[in-house]
Amino acid sequence: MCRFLIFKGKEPIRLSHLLTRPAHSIINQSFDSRLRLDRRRPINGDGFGVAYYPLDHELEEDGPCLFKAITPAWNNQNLETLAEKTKSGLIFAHVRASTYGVLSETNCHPFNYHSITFMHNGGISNFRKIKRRFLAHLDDEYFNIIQGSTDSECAFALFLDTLDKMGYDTTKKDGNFGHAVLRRCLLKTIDYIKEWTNEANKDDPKAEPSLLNFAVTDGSSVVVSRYVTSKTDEAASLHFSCGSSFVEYAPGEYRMERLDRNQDVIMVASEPLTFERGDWTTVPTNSILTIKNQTVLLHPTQDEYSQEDPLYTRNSSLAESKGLMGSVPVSKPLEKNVPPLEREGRSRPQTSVMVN
Amino acid sequence: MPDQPSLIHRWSHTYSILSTVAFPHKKILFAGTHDSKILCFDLNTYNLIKTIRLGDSDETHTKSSVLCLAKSKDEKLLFSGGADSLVRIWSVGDITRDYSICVKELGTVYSLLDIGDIFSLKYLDGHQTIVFGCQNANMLYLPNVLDKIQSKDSFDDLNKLPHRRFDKFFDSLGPGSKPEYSRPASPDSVSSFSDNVILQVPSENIVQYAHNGFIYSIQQLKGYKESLPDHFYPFNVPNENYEFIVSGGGDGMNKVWALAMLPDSSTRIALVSELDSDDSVLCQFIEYPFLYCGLTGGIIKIWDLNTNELISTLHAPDSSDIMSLTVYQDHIFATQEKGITKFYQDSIYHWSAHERLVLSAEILRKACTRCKHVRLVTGGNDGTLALWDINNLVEENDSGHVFHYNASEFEELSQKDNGNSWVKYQASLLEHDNMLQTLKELISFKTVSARNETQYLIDARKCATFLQQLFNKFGAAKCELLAVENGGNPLVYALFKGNAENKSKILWYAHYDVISAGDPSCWNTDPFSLTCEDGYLKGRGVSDNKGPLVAAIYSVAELALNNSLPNDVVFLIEGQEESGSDGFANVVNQHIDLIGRDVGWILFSNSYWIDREIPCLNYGLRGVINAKITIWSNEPDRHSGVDGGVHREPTADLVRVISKLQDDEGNVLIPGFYESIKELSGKEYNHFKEIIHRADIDETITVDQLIAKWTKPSLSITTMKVSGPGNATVIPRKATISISIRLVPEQNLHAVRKSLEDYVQSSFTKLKSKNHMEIKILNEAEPWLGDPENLAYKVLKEEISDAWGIDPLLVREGGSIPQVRFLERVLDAPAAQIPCGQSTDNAHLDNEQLRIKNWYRMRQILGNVFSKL
Repeated sequence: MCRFLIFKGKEPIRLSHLLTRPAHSIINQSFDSRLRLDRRRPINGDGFGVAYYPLDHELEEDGPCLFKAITPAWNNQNLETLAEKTKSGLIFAHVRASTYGVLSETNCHPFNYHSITFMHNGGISNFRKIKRRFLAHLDDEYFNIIQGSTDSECAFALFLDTLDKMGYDTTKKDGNFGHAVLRRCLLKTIDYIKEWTNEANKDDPKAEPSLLNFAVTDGSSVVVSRYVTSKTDEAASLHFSCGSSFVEYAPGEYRMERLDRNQDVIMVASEPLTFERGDWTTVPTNSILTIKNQTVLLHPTQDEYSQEDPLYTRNSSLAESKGLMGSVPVSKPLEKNVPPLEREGRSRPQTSVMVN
Repeated sequence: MPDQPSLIHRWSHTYSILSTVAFPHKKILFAGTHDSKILCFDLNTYNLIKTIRLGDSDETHTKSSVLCLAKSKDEKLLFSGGADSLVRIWSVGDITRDYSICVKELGTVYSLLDIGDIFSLKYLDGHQTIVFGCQNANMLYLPNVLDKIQSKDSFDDLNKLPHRRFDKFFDSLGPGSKPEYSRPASPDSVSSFSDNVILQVPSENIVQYAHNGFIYSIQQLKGYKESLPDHFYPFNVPNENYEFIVSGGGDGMNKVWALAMLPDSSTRIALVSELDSDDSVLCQFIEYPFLYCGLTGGIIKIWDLNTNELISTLHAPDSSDIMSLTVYQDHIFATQEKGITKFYQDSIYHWSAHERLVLSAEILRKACTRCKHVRLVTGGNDGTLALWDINNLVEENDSGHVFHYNASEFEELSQKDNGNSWVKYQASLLEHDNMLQTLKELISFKTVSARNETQYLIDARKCATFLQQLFNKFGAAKCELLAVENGGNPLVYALFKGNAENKSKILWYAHYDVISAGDPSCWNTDPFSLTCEDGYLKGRGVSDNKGPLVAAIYSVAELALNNSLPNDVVFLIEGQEESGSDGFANVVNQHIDLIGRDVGWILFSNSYWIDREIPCLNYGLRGVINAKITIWSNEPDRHSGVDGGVHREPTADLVRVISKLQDDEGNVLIPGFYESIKELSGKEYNHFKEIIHRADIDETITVDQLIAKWTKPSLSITTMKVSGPGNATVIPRKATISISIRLVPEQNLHAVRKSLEDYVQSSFTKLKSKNHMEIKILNEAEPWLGDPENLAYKVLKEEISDAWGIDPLLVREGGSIPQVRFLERVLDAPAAQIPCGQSTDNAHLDNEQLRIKNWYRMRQILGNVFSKL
């Protein structure tokens, strides 16, 4: 049950406004996760990591600052002070509940290679069966950057390897590959994983699908996938929110202020950070969200797992069983008179009732 | 460079104005706000006439910006969309006589998808189709909306309503808490849906990934004449079954979509054309064949939809995003951070319009509003909405090079606008906007009469001359400035001749001078420049008395220019009212033949209502005697330690004299003061009780207080002054006290004055003091009591009831207007007073104001009164 959060702003923000202060920040999510169903592992206590791109010109080159720890995120004094005193305009943060791999700093997201930062929420189906093939595909350069033991880090290496094979210099100090390149590369990465697992799972019709919510940035553009290798299952949850500023209107209570249509602040997160229902929109399952400058773009991933009917309800028990389904927290009852809005996916799906 | 367009009106709201839509034929302007409201303004009176709050009032979680508004062509429907992911459909009535409007929610459209914010919305009249663009890059449409609403094509089982299921999703699941599942629908929530039809957008009407970004704009493609390229008609149905829209999104694309109504009355949609603008498309405007699109970075691109060619790329001087865009006869108005940029041919003109980002802009065309000027409405995230007169910007070099592609609407317009006949000229003279302009000029003259500064004297003369010209323009038979002795401000006399056989003559008395504005820093606006804000006129003199004067002039002018003025109307406008009408009586006496001895009625409007809501007629004013009593000694100022106890002191003498004016209960001791006072009649007493009952005035005010204020005389000690430094140890050589006596109709002004002078003199003589005393009358006015039963009041009452839909209150007043009783006597005609503004007008105070609604109504009422008397 991992959670991740991406922030991209026209103006830099203090890390604490994202990580430590909000009542429903991902740090707080790690012990007060709104979803109570992951009986195995109720809390995201297996470490955390933050990557933030520095503002200073001198420090700007060659990627972000990376801070990881294996202590539970809510109990880390360094994180508290660091978050209070650091500002950035592009932040990747992740809290981890390990599904694969041991508890170690090398297994903590985000992963970084020069200007590129990567994180993953989900899991590759039957990774054990394809790991050998997976690693064999990689050039030495990328095989060698793998230090930990997680499927996620391998996926990162595959992404880098793919980008390299697409003809781009992955060690480029200023990043800036362009959002279209990153998106294409991420799609290719997903395609490889899909292909290998399909092959490995050929004889196992009951094999679980892969949940591939990947986030990648080169320091300028951000590309995030919400993807599942299934036509009927729901992907791990993913939401985005944008507005003119992210304001604290009461201690710990935040709101996305939207005075106009500008997207000066853009956030993408596994679980919403605020109690304002209107602040957050679900990223559709099997699509790719791109942040180009300060604009959000959405592209579908069209393949055998796409659904024609936009209103088709995917089954979210798989994602839930892995603790990968967040819900929108609400502090007070919502307006009654206005009906509509059944926000699929950002909510507790019907099936979850049965689990209790 | 043209002048900056003049700001006609500015409304303020605490929260950002995100969207606007004008209903020009109904003269309504709707504005969507950041705080879940739709504000509804009357473009006639500039009043906020309704505030619609979205969702329940007791809900705390409905901070949903109203991001877009749309309308049906017949202006009967309003559509709103916003951050709550809902499209609401409203029926819009007409503005009623009491300036209210009925706006009812007919239906709510939702999607089961999480579509996020709704950024763009259009209604296609032909198919009754709502089309909206969302944050999740989907475009949704719903055809036959009206039919669906009429057939109440809603949900059978209320428990199936999405919001019922919705509740459990959004329940809070804090640590350890149990999720609350499905609560049964309460009877309350059931009833609240009875009138509102809930409509869901079905799967087949969702265009997924219509763009790859937020869909910021949807425009309808109109004005083509069967000349669209063939590929615009992809379905096998007649061309007239098509409607076209153009959408623009954060992905930089402009897409043209064809919506076709199939024989089975279902609707299909197809993408027929794409234009890539590279940068995010934030707004669009179509004047076929041109598509103007506003992009990030201050760029505007103009496409030819017929040929798919990019014709031109414009760069605003400021590279902030183009938030909205509107085009009027090739003049492109683009709104950005702080300002509006206008592009026309090769010229660029920029003016700052709002404190911050300008988010919406819309042109009010002349043909639709029947207004002489082209106007522009802009809304900003500083929470204000501004109405601009852009006539000078769009007509400066209007040299025939105008594309009239937009079909009938424009053709009509050009025909209407081209004729420049006398009739048209007249009509424009009489427009409310023209009246506003006139008042603006009048207010700009600093006609302060109580001060002898050259500036004020010059301004007063200018103002009188301006009025003279105005009367001449409106066809007055005579208009003269009558000189006042001692160089006072001249009296303006004007005569309009009626055309009826048995006509009567009505005299309108008013004044063009004003009280000093005091400290300008205490004003929120410049006192001498007319400001229109939130439905009010603001400035010195708007209520007292220039506003009512202009309303009267225009009401008569309208009748005169249309050749339908039956009666003679005389205007007598003085310039010294605020300083005791110096010389007025003499001038009137001198020119009594010019004014005419056949005046039948004297009308004036020089006070206001007793509350904010109920119109009033005034039939009584108290009189006044202001006097100054001074006692002085021949000695200089002295020291109380050195000289105290030795002399009779002027201050002590004065106190003794003044103390004789009233007894310990405050009754006035001037001999004969109360002699002629009659008890209030039972009828009038009951009438006063009714006023207390009806009027919305301070609840602590009793009938007795009203009686005392309006029908009883009073004496007040108003100022006290002593010579010397004002130190507690100095015995002044001179002391002065002013008194103000208010008189009622039963009293005789001259008798009271004589009695006062004698009584004060005798009180002083009794002191046997060596000091000297002088009593000086500063000014005086006779009390006035009209006859509320006479014809003038009857007609006034009828017209007021008719215009306002409420019976007016017949009131009296504690204040005084010097010349009313004098005119009544010298012209031998009864007077009647019709107050114009509200109790909150602040006449004589800082921030004087007059509600525009009252002003327009005044003009309307007076027009009828002048023809019926």
